[in-house]
Amino acid sequence: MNSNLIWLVALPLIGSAVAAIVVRYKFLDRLITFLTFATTLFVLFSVHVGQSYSWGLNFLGTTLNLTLNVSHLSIFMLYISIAFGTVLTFYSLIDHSRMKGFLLLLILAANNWIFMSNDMVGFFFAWELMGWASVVSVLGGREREKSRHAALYYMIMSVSGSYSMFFGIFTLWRLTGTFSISANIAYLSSIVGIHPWWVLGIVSLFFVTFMIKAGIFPFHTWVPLAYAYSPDAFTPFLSAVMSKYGIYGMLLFMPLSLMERGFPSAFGGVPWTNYIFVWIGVITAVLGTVLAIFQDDVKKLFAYSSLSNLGYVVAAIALFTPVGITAGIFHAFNHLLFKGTLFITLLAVISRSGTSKLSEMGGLWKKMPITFFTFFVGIASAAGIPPFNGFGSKWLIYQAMIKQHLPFATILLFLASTGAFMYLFKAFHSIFLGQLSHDYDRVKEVSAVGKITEFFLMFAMTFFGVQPGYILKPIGAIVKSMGLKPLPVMANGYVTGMFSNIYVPLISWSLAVSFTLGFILFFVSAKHKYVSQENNYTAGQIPEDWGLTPETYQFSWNFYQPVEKLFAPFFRIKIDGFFRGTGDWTKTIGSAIKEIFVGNAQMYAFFAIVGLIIFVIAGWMA
Amino acid sequence: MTILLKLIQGIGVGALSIAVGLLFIGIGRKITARIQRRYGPPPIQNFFDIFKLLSKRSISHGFAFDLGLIAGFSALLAAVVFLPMGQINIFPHNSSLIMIIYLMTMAYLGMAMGVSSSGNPNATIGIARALTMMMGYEVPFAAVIFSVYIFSRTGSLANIVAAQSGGFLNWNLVRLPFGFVAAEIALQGMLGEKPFDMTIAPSEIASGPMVEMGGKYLGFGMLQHSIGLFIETGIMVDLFLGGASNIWIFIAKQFVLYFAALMINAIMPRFRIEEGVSFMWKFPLLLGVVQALIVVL
Amino acid sequence: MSIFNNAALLIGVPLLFAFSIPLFGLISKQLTKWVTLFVIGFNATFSLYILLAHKYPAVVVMGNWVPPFGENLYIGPVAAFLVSVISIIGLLIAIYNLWAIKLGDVTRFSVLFLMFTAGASGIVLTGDIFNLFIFMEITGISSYALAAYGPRRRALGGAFKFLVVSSIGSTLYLLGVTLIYTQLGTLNIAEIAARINQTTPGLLTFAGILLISGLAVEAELFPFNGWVPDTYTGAVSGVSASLSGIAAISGVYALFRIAMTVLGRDGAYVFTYGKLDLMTVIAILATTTVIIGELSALSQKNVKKMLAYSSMAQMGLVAVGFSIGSKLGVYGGIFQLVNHSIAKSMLFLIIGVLAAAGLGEKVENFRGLWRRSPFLSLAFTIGAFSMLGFPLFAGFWSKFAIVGASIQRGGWYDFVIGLVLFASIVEAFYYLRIVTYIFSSTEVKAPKIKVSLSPAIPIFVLAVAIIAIGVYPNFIGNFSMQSAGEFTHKMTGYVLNVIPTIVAH
Repeated sequence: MNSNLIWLVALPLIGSAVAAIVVRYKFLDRLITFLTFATTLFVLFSVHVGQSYSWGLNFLGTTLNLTLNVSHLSIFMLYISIAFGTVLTFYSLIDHSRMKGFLLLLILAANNWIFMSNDMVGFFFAWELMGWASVVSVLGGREREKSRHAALYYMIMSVSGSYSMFFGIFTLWRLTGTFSISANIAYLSSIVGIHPWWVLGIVSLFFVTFMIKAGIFPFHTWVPLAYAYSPDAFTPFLSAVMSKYGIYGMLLFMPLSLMERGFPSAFGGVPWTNYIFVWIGVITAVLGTVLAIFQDDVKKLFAYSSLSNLGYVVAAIALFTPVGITAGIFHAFNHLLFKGTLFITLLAVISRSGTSKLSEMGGLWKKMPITFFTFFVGIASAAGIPPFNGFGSKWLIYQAMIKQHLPFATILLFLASTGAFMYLFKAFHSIFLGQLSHDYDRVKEVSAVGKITEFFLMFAMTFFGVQPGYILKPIGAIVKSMGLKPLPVMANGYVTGMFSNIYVPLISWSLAVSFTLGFILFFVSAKHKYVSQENNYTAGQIPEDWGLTPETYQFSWNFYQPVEKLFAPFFRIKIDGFFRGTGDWTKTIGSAIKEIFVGNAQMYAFFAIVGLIIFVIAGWMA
Repeated sequence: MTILLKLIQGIGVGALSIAVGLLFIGIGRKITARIQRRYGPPPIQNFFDIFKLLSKRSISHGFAFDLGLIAGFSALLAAVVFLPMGQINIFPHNSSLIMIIYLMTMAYLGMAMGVSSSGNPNATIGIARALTMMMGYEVPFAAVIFSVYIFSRTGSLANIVAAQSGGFLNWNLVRLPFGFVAAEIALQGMLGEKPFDMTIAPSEIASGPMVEMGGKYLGFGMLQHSIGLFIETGIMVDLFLGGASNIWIFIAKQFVLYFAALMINAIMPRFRIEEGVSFMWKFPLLLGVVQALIVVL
Repeated sequence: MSIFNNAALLIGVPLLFAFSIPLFGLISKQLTKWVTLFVIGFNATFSLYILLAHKYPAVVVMGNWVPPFGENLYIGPVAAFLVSVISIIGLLIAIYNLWAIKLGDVTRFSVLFLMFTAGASGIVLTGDIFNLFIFMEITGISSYALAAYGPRRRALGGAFKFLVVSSIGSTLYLLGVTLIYTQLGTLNIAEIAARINQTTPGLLTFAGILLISGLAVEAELFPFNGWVPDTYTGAVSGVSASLSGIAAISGVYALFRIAMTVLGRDGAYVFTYGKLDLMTVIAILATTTVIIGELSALSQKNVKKMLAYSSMAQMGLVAVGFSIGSKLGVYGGIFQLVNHSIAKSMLFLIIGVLAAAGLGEKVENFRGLWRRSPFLSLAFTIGAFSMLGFPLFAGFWSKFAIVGASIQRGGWYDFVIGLVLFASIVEAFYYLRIVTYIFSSTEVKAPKIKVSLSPAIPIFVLAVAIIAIGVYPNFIGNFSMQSAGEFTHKMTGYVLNVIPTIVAH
């Protein structure tokens, strides 16, 4: 019995209640949120792997044991989610968007519970709690009406997913009579050889939920809406932390695929169920990338980018090899860090400029240099450029895929990566580079709290990029706990794959030396002078002749128009249309059924009598 | 002591790559001129050009502009030391090909950041084109890389070279011919030679990325181009031509590849951007996929 | 035994005061409302005492005639629990009525409301199928009249529809009772339950159908629920709240008392109806009700009507729970019944307050409610979330139990619960649509809505109750569990408690 575990759930709940009372005073709300996050992080230091806590709930006629259990995976997820939450809430102290701190704390409670729960009742409870709290959090973005629609859409997807899991939980319960997650997974793996289809059916009930939450194809349609129209301060959490719940759930069930005797292998020794999943991940990655390239709303762009990165994660963990799992979890961490950072910098930019349209921004680097550098490091990470943190995991993912001899999936992932570079640069250019519009002449850099956060995030991205061992070691423990052989971690700087090793500090040193040389060369060569932004080469014309303004001289509309032409045939397929069609169809049937209640007493009497007669006749016949 | 040695070696390799790259470009100018029946500049003209550019006063558009161009040059300099070239192999255990490619990406990002911060739309259009083209050629090239990976069971360039030792017939050029052709076409795109030179396209977008560069900035651009040329051809040599036993043979093989690219450049018109990409995704990709299939099955 | 003999007071006191209220009305019309309040308050206190002091099971005999010969009340776990819920919700609605009922014939309203509460309590308490009929009529007639109260014409229309359908239901039920009586010569529930096998099978089937059809009217099962939307929409909100909070409880109770105790068998489900058993039939009706209810609510623009359809669907869900027949299922059904009563009556009360503040009943009118009244917005959200079965709110646990029981039962119940869950997604959509409207603000500055104390108290209490049950389900859960035992084990749970000497045939 380790009662410190229960505090991880109870503290945020208490904090949430307190924050809800003072929700009128935004700063107090945010302050309590931040303090609760920090305290929870502090409590987390006392939590170790192997601790467990359970309490009885007198329910369903028996005493249900709600169990919290700290595994290697859970403690890893707990650390990264709470730590990021602390940073975010620290930043949100100076933020003015309509994020409600107490809802974030409710999500934190659910977050901790989900990651620790070893019983499906608690898991479901926390899952649903997280679901509705996040839906309500999505309400209140800058564009009210759109945010309302997004919340509704997200809600329906989320609820559908939960009910699917609901069904799965009780099906398992019917079979085993227990709600314990570990016992049920053990049961499933014991029968997977005998009844593979059964196991597949039950597990897919869960996986639908996880895929919806992580936004994996074909359930990705809510992601851009919810990300784009949620309050700006909530989006980082949504993207960085909440998308990982689905990944966590998948990882819980992944050890099942060890039982290869259940399913014949597809290519490369991957069971074909996993093989399909690898492709789902790859499709998600490519789809997210391609769609991201054409977005004008920057939050939508990064929403699709999240989608794409989670596709990478899914593809990697679906392999269920040591490298694959390591790479997947590593990438999940890296995505949390860099995407969280990117959304936090976007929060800064949007709060200063008041718009999230790429075509309305530009040239902000002169006004917000620290945010600019943070964003730069963020996109460098996201593009997988060494020595920043996104590199190691992307590199490992390729290793994992090639190890299983899946060249086509790897090629597509590589395409997604190159595409990622395109949309990242588009966002980078349209926000920070190019011409600064005169509308933004009075834009200021974020205040001190924001600067501290940004420096910290830059440091973190570089640190974990150069010293990936600090993350790879705990991941190794996770891999070991799943019954696989972990990758060797030679030193903190090494990333070891199957095909080759890289030693990131070496890259950093080489970069450091070469940059020094570059700077020396730059400063020993002839002097330069700075000119104004309108002072450009215009083929002999004088800008005044053209009536040149910064807006007209900023290239940010139809950025990748040739690519758009290239992909035009694919845009006709609309997954979203399918869901909306189902919705409309339901609505139509609903209106038709409503006509039963015609509002006429005779008709109702008639119904009752007809019902009775049908009863009687049916009784006669049967 | 070893650190100092490696440092000196690294700087030496950097200087060598710059020199070789500049020389290649110079020879290329001469050859192109001869094909076009001009006299052309002397092959070492580029060294004079660099010296001249670096010593000229110039205008800048802010620190992002400066930093971007320095990054473009320096990141490639950092990448080149990991490339095994003949007997010169400074870090034999760290020559993962994907790592080198991603390190080069940093140079592109730096370059893109620098020229975009100048605020000239032509520059940004050029960058947008470059990135689009990059998406085009990287896909077939990735197909080739992964075929080679699977074929030689290693991802390290040094080991790939080692796997090809023992004569011409062991070269990947012979063993993976489809892959070589695909990679060769992709290389044409990487080098930005015709028919894939829409990035520069002087007549349309005033040389694109280079439009705002003058003086030492143009000098840095040229340096970057020369190192890039060296790395890209070097990778091809390591991948397909069996590396080399010493640096001179290595450079000779690189020159062969560059010469082929020049020949194609000299006689081709320019693709439109989306045509270029879809070409890359048709013929070379098909070859790459065929190669991958052959390797896997 | 003395106190239990007084349990008849739960019916007697309200009826007595109901008839004497006109006297108070002579003094002051406002006084009658306070009298109602105190009488129901007495009921609530007394029933809570019985429940919490665990003064059950007990048989209350009328005039020293021991069952099965005389009329008796039976206070088992079910009765004690449900009467408490009825009385407490009645009390809260009475508090609300202090503020809401101002126009028209206040005295008559008070009379009817007391009769209504007394009748509903009577249905739950009685141990006699004919008395059940009488109490049904008392509840029924008073609720038509209540539904007709108010200035609006459509209230009359709704009440009339209710009257027509409900009369048909009563008639069918009475016919069924007659058939049973001709067969067994007794009206006592316990005795009929024990001797049900002595009846002619064909006649019993017919009687069963009549009884179930008759009771399905109040339990809002399709196709006997035509009255629901118009009546709920037409009535003033306090009455809608009582209909969904009180009448629904007694209706569902009556249906399943007959279906499970009288016509049921221990262990096996219920007596056969052709090749099907009756519970299957009820399950089919219930599932149809859920789907029709939710789908009809989906495209509904009028919030009150939407809530009415939702009531219907929720009753279907309750019936699904009961129809499973296992202890877990019945437990879920009762729990859901109580949760629904709490949440739905609160929602109706909120609608009432909003209507008084001049807010229309259209969905769009809820836009920006958060700015105008955070209290009502939060309460509405809590109620809606409880209806949807979100965690931290009461509805989570009961929905959890019902789904669990269905899947545990397996077989075609997997299909049933699949449909129900699909309908729940639809439900989530239309409730969330309102909630999202509430929190999305308008550009137009609208005045704040003032909520006076008397409607605020019940809304607040109910909202707190929802969260309390959601956080700590054991309290209500234990009572539900005991109640479930009474339904699922008819001999040990019910019959033998009433007539200890009886032998089942």
